[in-house]
Parts: sequence; C-alpha cells; structure tokens
Amino acid sequence: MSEQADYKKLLTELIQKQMVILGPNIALDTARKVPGIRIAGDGVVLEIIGDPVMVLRSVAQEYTVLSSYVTQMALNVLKQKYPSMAY
Amino acid sequence: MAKILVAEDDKLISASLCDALKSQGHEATPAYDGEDAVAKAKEIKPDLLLLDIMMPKLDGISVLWELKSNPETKGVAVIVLTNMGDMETISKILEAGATDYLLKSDQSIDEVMKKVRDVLSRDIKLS
Amino acid sequence: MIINILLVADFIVLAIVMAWYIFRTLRERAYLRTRLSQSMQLQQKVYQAQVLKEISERIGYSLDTTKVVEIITNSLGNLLPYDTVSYMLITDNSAVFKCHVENSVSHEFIEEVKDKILMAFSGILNLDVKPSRFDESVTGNLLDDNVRVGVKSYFNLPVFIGEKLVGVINVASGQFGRFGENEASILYTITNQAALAVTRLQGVLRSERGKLKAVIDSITDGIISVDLSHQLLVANPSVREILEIAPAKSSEVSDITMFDIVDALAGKTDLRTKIDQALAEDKRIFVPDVVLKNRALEINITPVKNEIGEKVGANVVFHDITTEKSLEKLRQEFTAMMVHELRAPLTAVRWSSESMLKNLAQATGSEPGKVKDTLVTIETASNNMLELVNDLLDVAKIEAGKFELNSQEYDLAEVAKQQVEVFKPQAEVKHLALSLSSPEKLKAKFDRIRVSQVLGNLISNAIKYSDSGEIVVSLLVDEANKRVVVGVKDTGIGISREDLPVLFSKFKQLKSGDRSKKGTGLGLVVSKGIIESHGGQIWVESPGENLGSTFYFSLPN
Repeated sequence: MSEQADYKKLLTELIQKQMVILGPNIALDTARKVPGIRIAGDGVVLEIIGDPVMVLRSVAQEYTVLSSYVTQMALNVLKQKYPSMAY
Repeated sequence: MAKILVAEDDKLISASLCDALKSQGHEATPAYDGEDAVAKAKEIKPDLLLLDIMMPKLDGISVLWELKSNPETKGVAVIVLTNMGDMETISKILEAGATDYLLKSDQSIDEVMKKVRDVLSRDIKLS
Repeated sequence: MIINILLVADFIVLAIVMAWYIFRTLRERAYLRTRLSQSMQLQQKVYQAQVLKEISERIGYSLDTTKVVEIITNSLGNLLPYDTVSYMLITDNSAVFKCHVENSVSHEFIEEVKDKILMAFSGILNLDVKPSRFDESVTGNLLDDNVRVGVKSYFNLPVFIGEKLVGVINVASGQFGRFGENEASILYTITNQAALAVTRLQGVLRSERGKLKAVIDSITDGIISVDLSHQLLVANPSVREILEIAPAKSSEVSDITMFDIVDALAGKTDLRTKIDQALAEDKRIFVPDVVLKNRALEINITPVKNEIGEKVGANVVFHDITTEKSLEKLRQEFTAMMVHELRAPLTAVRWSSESMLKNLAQATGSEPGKVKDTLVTIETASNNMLELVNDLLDVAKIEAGKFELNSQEYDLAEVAKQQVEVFKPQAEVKHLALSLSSPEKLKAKFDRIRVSQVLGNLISNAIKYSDSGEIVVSLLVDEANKRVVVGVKDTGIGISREDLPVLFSKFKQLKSGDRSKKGTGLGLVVSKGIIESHGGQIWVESPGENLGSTFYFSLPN
C-alpha cells in the first residue's frame, strides 16, 4: 500500500531527525516503545503494524515527552514536506 | 544742638519727628526720598541721620551704603527707622553700617528722642 | 551394581544442588538487578531534586540562561558514566563551547562532539548552522591523542527558555550502547522542568517590571534608581524634564547617565555623597531647596534592600517645588508689604497726635479743653489699633511657626523690676498696690523684649481686672525642674472654673461683663506663644469668681 510506504518514509525521517538532534540510542529506544513498529539500527522503519496514523501519533507523543519544542519543530518541517498526510 | 537729617517719605511722620527734634533744640532738615537724602547729606553734612528704609527713588539701605562709602559722609551717625523687625532686615541694616535702629511702630516719639540723645552722646564720646 | 546406583544418585543430588544453586543465583541476580534499578531510580530522583533545588536557588539571583545550562551540566556528577559533557550556546554568528573531560579523550573526539552539537542545532532550527566565531574552553582531564576512540554514544539535551533555543548540552562516550532510554530520559525530564521554571519566572519578572515601569513613567517626579556603585539602573522620562537634560542627540544613546544628572545639578548639591550617606546611615535623606537655573527642587534619597535585608542600591526622587516656592515667596513678600502698610499710617497717626498734644500742652500750659479730649481720644484709639495689629501679626507668626526669638543672657529680676516701674502709675490710679518679690539677680536666657511683653501683658491684665487690693509679682528658681517661675497674683474678679481652659485660646466665650474691659483679648494668646517658643509653660490658678487669680509662666534654665 502506498500509504503505508508513505508513513514508513515519514516516520523514518522523523526518527532519523531525532537521532541527530537528541542522539541515536535515545531516539531509537523512545520510538521502539511504541508497539507496532519495527525499526532498524539506522532509524529506517522496517514495518508498521496497525493504523499508521496512530503509530505516528504515538511516536510523536513519546518524543514530545523528551522535548516538546524539538518535536513540534520537527513535525512542522515534515508537515511542510508532506502536506497531504494526516498527523 | 546737633544737625539732624530726617529721611522719611511719610510727611506726617517726618513733620512729627522734625517737630520733636526742634523742641529738643536740634536743627532738623527733612528729605522725602532716597536721592534727596543723599544729596542733602552731602550738602549739610549732618551729625545724625534718621533714615527710613522704605523710600521712593532709592531705598534706605542703598542710601546707607552710599553715604558710608563716601569719605565726606561716612562719619555720620545713622539711626535706621523701620517697621520690619525680622532678623534678616536687622542684620542687613547693621551690615550696611547703621549705628542703631528703631522699630517705628513700637516706639513713641519720646522714646525716639531718647534714642537720638543716646546715639548723639555715644558719638561725642567716640569723636 | 550398587556403585552405579550410588553414582547415579550422586549425579542426581549434584544436579539438584546445582539446579538449586543456579536458581538461587538467578534469583539473586534478578533481585540485585531490581535493587540496582531501584537504586538508580533513587539516585536519579536525588539528582533531579538536587538540580532543581540548585536551579531554584540560583534563579533568585540571576536568570542567566548560561548559568542554567551550566548548572545542569555540572550537576551530572556520577549519575551516568560518560567521557565528556559539554554545552554550546549560540547567539547570532558566534558560539560559546564549553567541554568538561571526565575521562581522557583525543582532540578528535572533542571535534566530533562539536560537530554533533552543531548538527543538532541545524536539525532543530532547520538551518545550516555554521558560527563564524568560536569561544571554546576545555576543562577537566587532559586530552590524550593516543586514545584513539571516537564518539560511539551520545545524547543531546536542547534547552528551550521562553520558547527560544538557548543552548544544547551534549553527553558523549567512547563506548557503544550507552545513553538509551533508561539512562538518559530522566535528564530530559530534569532539563524540561528547569527550563520551564526559568521561563515562568522570566515571564513573571517581565510582567512585574512592565507594571512598575508603567507606574514610574507616569509619575511627574523624576525618579532614578542606582546600585551601590552609583550606576544608573532605572530613570523615568520625567527626570529629563525636571533636570532639564537635553533630549538624546542620537537614537543610539537614548538613555541618560549618572553623569548627566550630576552635571544638571551643577554643584548645588553633591548627589553622590548624599547617596552614600543614605546608604551608610540606612535612612532617608531629604535635601530641601535645591535651586537650579529655572527650577527649585526637593530631593529625597531612600536606600533599597533586597528580600534578605542587604543593601542593593538607592532610589532618588526629584520633586519640583518651583511653583510652591514662588507662591511662598509671593506670600512672604505680601506679608512684608502688609506689615509695612499697616504699621506706617498708624505710626504716623500716633506720632503726629503725640506731637500735637505736646504742642498744645506747651502752648496753653494747662487743660486745653475739648480739643485736647478729642486728641487724647485719637491717640488712645490709634494706640489701640497699633496694639491690635501687633497682636494679630504676632498670633499669625506664632501659628505659622515663624515666630523668631532673640534670646540672650539677661537678668530676669531686672526685667521684672522695669515692668513693675512702668505700671506703677497705672496701678496707683486705681489705688492698687503693685510690688515685686524676687532675688537680687536672676540670670536666664530669654528674649528680653518678648518676655517684657508677657510680663507687661500679665500685669496690665491684673490691674485691669482688679478694683482693689494688691498685685504681687514674684520670681523664683525651681532647681528641681531646671526652670524659673514668674507669678503675677491679683485680688481681682478671678476666673470661673469653666473659663479656665479657654483663657489662652483665640476663641473665647467669657461670660460676665468682660465686654466692658478694653484690650485686644489676644494678649494671653500671644503671651502663650512667646512662652512656649521659649520652651516654657504658662498657666493660671484661680479659686473662683471674685477670688482673684494668679498667672504663672516658666522659662527653662
């Protein structure tokens, strides 16, 4: 499904961005807390199980706990890049 | 006995003073403003000057300064007549070289005459 | 056979023991792990509390964002194993980078850390962040280029204060696998809480400052605030106006300086010295009547303390009194004019009538008749008017607090003697005996003219209100109370109990035939003013109506 692929791409970008901003291990560990997502060691999202929008929200939520401003800014950039997608 | 110049702009007061002085046997000359007072002082060279502070043309303190800085007139004894009894005015009067001062409103003519006698006798002692 | 069974049994026992042992070890390890994790949690909690405490303490005195970042960095302590902890603050195009080395690393390691931080900045801001200036400092253990390990683990703590990114803290290690969620997440919590606290506080301060500024700006008095070294901290717009400091020439230098202010005061008062005085004596200093070119000012200096009572500076208020002063000056000039205007004609009337009387007496030798009576009336009337004016002026002066005394050392006994002599004739006319009871000499410090006035007032009252008997003036020294007391005793109409308290006041309602008695009625009021100006007291005793009275006054000695 192209939608799934899109969300995988979106989430990958988000996670990789956080890996640079917050640090690789913490970014990965935090995203991995969300059930239904499988992530490689370099931040690439391998699989999303379930509703991708929910998964995205959950990941964003986890990141918000660490730093709400950073997450906000990151999401804004992504929204600009992928305007048609639901967040 | 003495030549006295009465510098006072109020004619009634001037007349009363001159009358009283004359009855004491002195020679009394009136002057009704500051400039006249200076002129008359230079002219008749009085032994005593009864000087009112508030006068037209030139006020009493200025008359005093002028006379005291003039070698011809600086020896004259001066009794300043004033209505203001405050310390500032009195120190100004004494600073300018007055021999004595009188509060017009507080004295009767007799007391004024007593003061005149007093100052004249002081003067005689000094000279 | 039996040996085999025994061997098997042995094995089984061994297996059981081993199983039991392994089981116990595993349980212990699990237990230890839990304890470790609990201990770590506790440590983290302690750390959290410590950092927050330190931050809130320091926040009270400085909201320097650099400091906040520093505090968090320094408080890391031994909570996590790391090799370096650093922070970077970026403003415009220059960056401040500070790194603390816990375990020796190479120069390259540091460069990597810097890179990682810059990438984080770039990522957050979505810009390419490349500062042109770097202010660097590295502390802690020495760098060792032989340690050829790069940054293998790291995490960044972005610090946002007031929604603005002020800096990034980085914790780095040469070992893999560090700083996962359970090690690092607590630090995010701490950082966020600290940043929030600072942001909130900044907001409160800003709003309070804003309110204060609005109030200060609206005040027409000039207000400035200085610190302990006389540096100008605050100055409201009115200062410029009041001190007539020219408006700023360029928009760059829009604030006035302490120099401008001291200059404007033009040496009329030494402001700096007065500020120091206020601080040293810890009290308000009031400087009245500072007259500048076009204005007159009043200056008030108050020391300022912080909430623990330490002096931190002073506030100076410049109050314009030009209008008040010119009004005061006008009033004074008016009063002076009035005094002259009132007194001059009265003196004229008095002296000329005195003069006329003398002339008449000389001219006719004995009673001139009706004319003389008229003249006597004029003289009496004008004397009375003069007395009234003098009394009114005295009362006005006393009430305005502008009553001047000319006190010197005099012999009170002599003054009393003189006054008694003056009034003897009057007393004789009424067949009253007037006597003095006093020591030979009584030295005291007082205004001779004024005290004579009081004595005269009391004696003349005594004569006025007595129809027969005697008046005794007495003086005595009251050693115990360090004063002298003068008494005037009469055998006259006395004073009723109800009238006693109002005698010395301007507004009297004395019953019985007092309307017939001449006099201004202000004599006692003035006497009271005179005596009280000396620091003494005046009072009266009377057994009752028609039983005479004794007036006393005291003078401090």
